[in-house]
Amino acid sequence: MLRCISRGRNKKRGVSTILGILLMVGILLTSIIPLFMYVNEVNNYYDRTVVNLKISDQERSMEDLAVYAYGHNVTSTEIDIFLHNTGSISLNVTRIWVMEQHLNKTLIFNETKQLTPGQQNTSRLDIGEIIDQENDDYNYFIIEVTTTRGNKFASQTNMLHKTTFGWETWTQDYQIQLLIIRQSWGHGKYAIEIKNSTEATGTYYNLFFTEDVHGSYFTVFTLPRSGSYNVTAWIWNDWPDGPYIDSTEVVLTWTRPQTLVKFYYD
Amino acid sequence: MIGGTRSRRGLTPVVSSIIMCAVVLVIGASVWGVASSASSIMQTDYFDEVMESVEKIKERFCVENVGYNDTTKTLKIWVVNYGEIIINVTEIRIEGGGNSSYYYPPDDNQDNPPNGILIPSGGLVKFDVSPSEVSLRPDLSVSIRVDSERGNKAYASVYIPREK
Repeated sequence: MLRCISRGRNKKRGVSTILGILLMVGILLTSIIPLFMYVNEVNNYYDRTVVNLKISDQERSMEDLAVYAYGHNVTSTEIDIFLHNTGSISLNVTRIWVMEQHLNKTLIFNETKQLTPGQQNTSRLDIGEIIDQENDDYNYFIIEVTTTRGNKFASQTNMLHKTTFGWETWTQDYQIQLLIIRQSWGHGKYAIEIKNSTEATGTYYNLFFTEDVHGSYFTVFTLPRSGSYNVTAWIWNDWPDGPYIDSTEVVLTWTRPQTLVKFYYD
Repeated sequence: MIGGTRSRRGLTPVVSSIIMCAVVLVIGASVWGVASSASSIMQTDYFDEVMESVEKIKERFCVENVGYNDTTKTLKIWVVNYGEIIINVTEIRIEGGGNSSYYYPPDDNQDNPPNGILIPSGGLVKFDVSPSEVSLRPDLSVSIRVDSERGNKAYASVYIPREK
């Protein structure tokens, strides 16, 4: 009899324990573990977002665009915008801004251009709307280009000035840097001539005479436009019969507006 | 007789077992339900918090350009959203000449919420701001701060050139 009762009690205890354990396991499986898994998944999503944002910010910093703006021709109210993707990543141009220097007048040109690394592109824009026909002082323009990644690149020829006689850039962008290396001891003056090879009347520096210099000589010539130029240098002392140093042909383009010319003189 | 007593004795433990099981099941189910709903609420709250943080860090906007209207003495501020999500510009602070001025888009009415102008992804919006405390004039450097609803800020500065 006692044996029977004790057996019955044991059976009852076992059922409750099993049920309790089953419920605990059920709660654990359906509530606690999914909660941890969900939190983990959300954390992973946050981490992925941070990584993606870091990548897009890095891509933004990798964008590089060279912008050059010039008047199309002397009489035109159009300007030519040259774009050159000098970065290591493709970019999308979204807008070109043309602003009068006092910020009073602004033109926004919506552009959708994709430029792969190294790719170049040209746009021609008419800005006659904001050109003051009466006062040239109000015709200084700032040109900027924006991209989809939020970068803004200013034209390297800013500011662009429209005058009655045509267009000029604020910065003298086309340059010939001339270095005359004197390999022997001594001093003297140099005569330098720079002619545009394609224009009959295009002599920009007609016998530029230097000061009396000791040793080597370096100077920078600024030029109004792109093109092919002939650079010649002489020792001035007995010019034109004086010693001729050297002559060379250089080409200036909007993508390569500056060049270095080296002449050697014994 | 003995057999009848035995069967009565056998019924009570069964009934009590059933009651015990029922009680355990009811309490267990209740605990289970509470745990499930608590877990669900915690999941939702956590998700909302994380999404809020994600949206805040995903915001990307800047002042693309600033213009100046000499006649109306207003600043034209172009704000671009170059991020992936929509932004709400709620405040623009202008500082210049030692003074600060606040502008609340769209109508500068800070007592009438909701304020702010929504800028979609890739959108460009112009704000015409006439700062009451800052006297705009040529030869003045102005700094601009644009605040979004999520608490991000974009800064810009502009120098209003002197007339020739």
